Amino acid sequence: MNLRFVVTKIFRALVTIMIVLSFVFIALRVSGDPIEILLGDEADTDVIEYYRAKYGLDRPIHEQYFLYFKGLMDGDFGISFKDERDAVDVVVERIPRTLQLGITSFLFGLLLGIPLGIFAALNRNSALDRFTMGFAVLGYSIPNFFLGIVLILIFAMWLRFLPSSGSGTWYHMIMPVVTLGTAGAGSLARFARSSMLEVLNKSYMRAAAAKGVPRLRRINWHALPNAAIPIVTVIGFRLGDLVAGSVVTETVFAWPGVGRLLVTSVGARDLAIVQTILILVALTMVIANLLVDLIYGWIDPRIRVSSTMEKD
Amino acid sequence: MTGRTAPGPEPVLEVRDLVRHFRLRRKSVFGKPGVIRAVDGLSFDLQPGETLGLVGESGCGKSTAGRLALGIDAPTSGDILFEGRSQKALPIREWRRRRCDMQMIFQDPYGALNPRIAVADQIREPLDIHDIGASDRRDSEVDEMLDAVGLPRPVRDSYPHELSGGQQQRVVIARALMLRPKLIVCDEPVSALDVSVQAQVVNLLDSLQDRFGLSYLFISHDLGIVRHICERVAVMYLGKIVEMADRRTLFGQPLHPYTQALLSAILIPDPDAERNRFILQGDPPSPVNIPSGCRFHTRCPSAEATCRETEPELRPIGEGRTVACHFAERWAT
Amino acid sequence: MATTDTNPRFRLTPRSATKYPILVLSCFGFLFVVLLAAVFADLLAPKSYTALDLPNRLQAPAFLGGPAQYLLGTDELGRDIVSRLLFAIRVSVFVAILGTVIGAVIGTFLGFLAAHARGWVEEGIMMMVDVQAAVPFLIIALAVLAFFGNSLTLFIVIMGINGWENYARLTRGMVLSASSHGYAMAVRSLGARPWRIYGRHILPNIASALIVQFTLNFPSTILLETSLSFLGLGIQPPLTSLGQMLGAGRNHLILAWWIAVIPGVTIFLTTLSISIVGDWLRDRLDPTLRGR
Repeated sequence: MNLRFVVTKIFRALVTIMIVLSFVFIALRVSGDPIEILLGDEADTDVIEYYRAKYGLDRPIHEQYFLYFKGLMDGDFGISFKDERDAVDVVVERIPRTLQLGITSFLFGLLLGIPLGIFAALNRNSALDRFTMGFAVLGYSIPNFFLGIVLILIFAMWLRFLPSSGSGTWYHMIMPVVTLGTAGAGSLARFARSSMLEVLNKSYMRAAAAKGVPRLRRINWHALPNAAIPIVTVIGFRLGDLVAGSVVTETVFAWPGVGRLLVTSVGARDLAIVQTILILVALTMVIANLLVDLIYGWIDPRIRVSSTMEKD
Repeated sequence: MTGRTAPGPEPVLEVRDLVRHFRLRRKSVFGKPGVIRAVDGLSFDLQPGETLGLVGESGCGKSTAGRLALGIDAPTSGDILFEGRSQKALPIREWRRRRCDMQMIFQDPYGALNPRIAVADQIREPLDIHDIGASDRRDSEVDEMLDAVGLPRPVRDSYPHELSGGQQQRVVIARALMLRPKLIVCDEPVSALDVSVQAQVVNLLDSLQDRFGLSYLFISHDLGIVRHICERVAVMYLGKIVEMADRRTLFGQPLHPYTQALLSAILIPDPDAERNRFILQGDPPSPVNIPSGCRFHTRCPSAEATCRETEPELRPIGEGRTVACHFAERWAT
Repeated sequence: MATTDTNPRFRLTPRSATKYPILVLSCFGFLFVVLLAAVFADLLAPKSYTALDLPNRLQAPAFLGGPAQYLLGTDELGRDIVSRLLFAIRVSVFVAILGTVIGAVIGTFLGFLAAHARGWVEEGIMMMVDVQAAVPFLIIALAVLAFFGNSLTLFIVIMGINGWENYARLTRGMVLSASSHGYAMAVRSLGARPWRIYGRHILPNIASALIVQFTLNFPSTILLETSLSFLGLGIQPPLTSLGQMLGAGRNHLILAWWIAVIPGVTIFLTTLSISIVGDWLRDRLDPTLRGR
């Protein structure tokens, strides 16, 4: 892979993070005085002054900017106004739960969506194909908060199969995973189907058939690897939906993860927590996108070539 | 002004040592950026009422030269004088006003017309842009121009896709003429048209030239058409002129081996013309890596050691002809 | 991203009326009903959407055995769900349309600006596009709401910022490809000013692709509004929206599931209809985007 491609991508990633951080810094100053929002109008002036000094809010703005970045480098993302703990600690202890839900849902979407899409493509216009396409359209049109509520109604209220909230056993995971994974399964199925269909129509597939290559081998050796290339990028795009979806899903099922923490912190205007989560999400997304770009550039040689022949 | 300019009327267009390079992207962070030398030192004059043909294989920089002449693209170095005034670094206002004096006719007439606007409105548009004449007067000028380019008036309300290729090109010509320009750059104006229509359009251009007092810079790879319409012809190879002469001189006795090659590739019904017939081998070298010495030596059947080392100057040989070949005299005898 | 050439064959006016599948027609029908409900909410509503009727709390819809005066039942304060639904539709549709229009205008303008100015202006705009595309917008929206507090104006602005980057990217790409050759170049060489080239020549030729983008973006704006309102961070009482109704109804699932399900079904059918219509439009107008 050529170096320019990699360096450009890394530079872009860094700039994205800088912009997000600067946005947070500016928003924090423009939005008013976080101390007063937290302590209210009746707080003692000594207490207010103490917090002001603690967060550097009495310094000039450029020093605050510098202090802010210095603090972030040291891992100091501020202190949760609500329970006086380091915001990073509050957020980090929620991460495992979110990862547990997110990764399971991602696998659920992947393992359901891609095979469905491929089988639909291989049996074009069959009942399976129509079912898959119907499922895909419904899957990504149904808002996840509504799907969650419908699942709760059916499985927790009427059938009394599954617990409606909490996170104790793996029973607790079924409904959140289905809620969070269905949209992904739907769009992956649709995408896998269309990219598989595209590959099946290529002339090298007809050539392989003409040579007498058996159907199964044709699919496994010629079609699947070529169809996989576009699917990889879509998996990258799915991550953003997964992050956004987990905010809603965790709230619906009272799942004690980062998403629910974000919602309660926004409601309480606990800005240290909000900025920590925003930066965490931005970092995750930027790194994930970078990896997808690099993997894509690595598996698809055409990307590398096309970036070098451009007129100035 | 250089001594090459013949005494007499001032040229409409003077092109002086024109260079246009395009930078390629670096291949890696450490690599040297490549440079496409599309136009690489070009000089010529165009007299009022004259038609100068600019010919060469595709990729020789003739279209870039046309765009540079009109100021649509900016040269890397060199200068262009329109009626004696430099066109270098014109303020944008001045540049727009200049459009009234110089216009272009494009290779692909359908692409040059907006598919969603009726023909009459497109022909009228130059007057709207420069706010020339009263509004109702503009419509009657459109009608007159339709007559002049030989389009029936009912096409006024047609859309470009409803017209034939030849009619589309007539619309483009009409639009260019609305501003009464002095100079028109014709960039392969007929090469996208059917052969049967080509002659009609070329004859139209010929008749419009007298009627409107136009000077043409006629860019083409088709020597047959160039021979038909141009008084003088400049042959370009890899961004430079290798031979320039009056039509009769050039077609009667080409001196540069490249010109000879181009001419021997077309059938000319002139049994008296003696020519070294040879066919050009392969494609021209890439304008990124222009050969040292004479840029034609890699394909020249008569290349010698000098040709690889020294680049020949464009020098006058005989009456009204300049050639860039070390051995031009050899072919002249 | 697929190349979106400005193919002159795209037309918004269908050539024949035969190619309307039943599904697409019924989606159009449903959207028409939703639009009527939004426009005429105050005429159609049998009661005020804030009128309390405490003795008749959590009544089932009439067709499930509830009192006849409440066609879709009542909520936890005895408010008529039909009336609330009509006004919720009005607010949700209004916010989504306004938001989508704002996003389309800003994005298209910045796309033109980037293509026209090139250089660092273009770099800056494309960098903002990258940032927005990199971070899920729900998270950005939540952060903005946390920092600046909630107000209807800010909320609509947030809806507008959602999706602008799609228009910007699309417009920039199409303007760059259109300006470099063909009619745009021809008009430029006639001496036309940029506003004439862009407004009269390029915009009409790329409009169909922008309209497709509009229909693709609209469901995501509705989902953003309903999600935020569902989380209690969007439209605030006394105003109501589909998401807010659903969020409030969530607390009464055991006794009165219809409070949540009715607005939920409405959201679902609306986004589904727009997606189907949008896909159909895209296939009709822009064959180069097919299969994405």
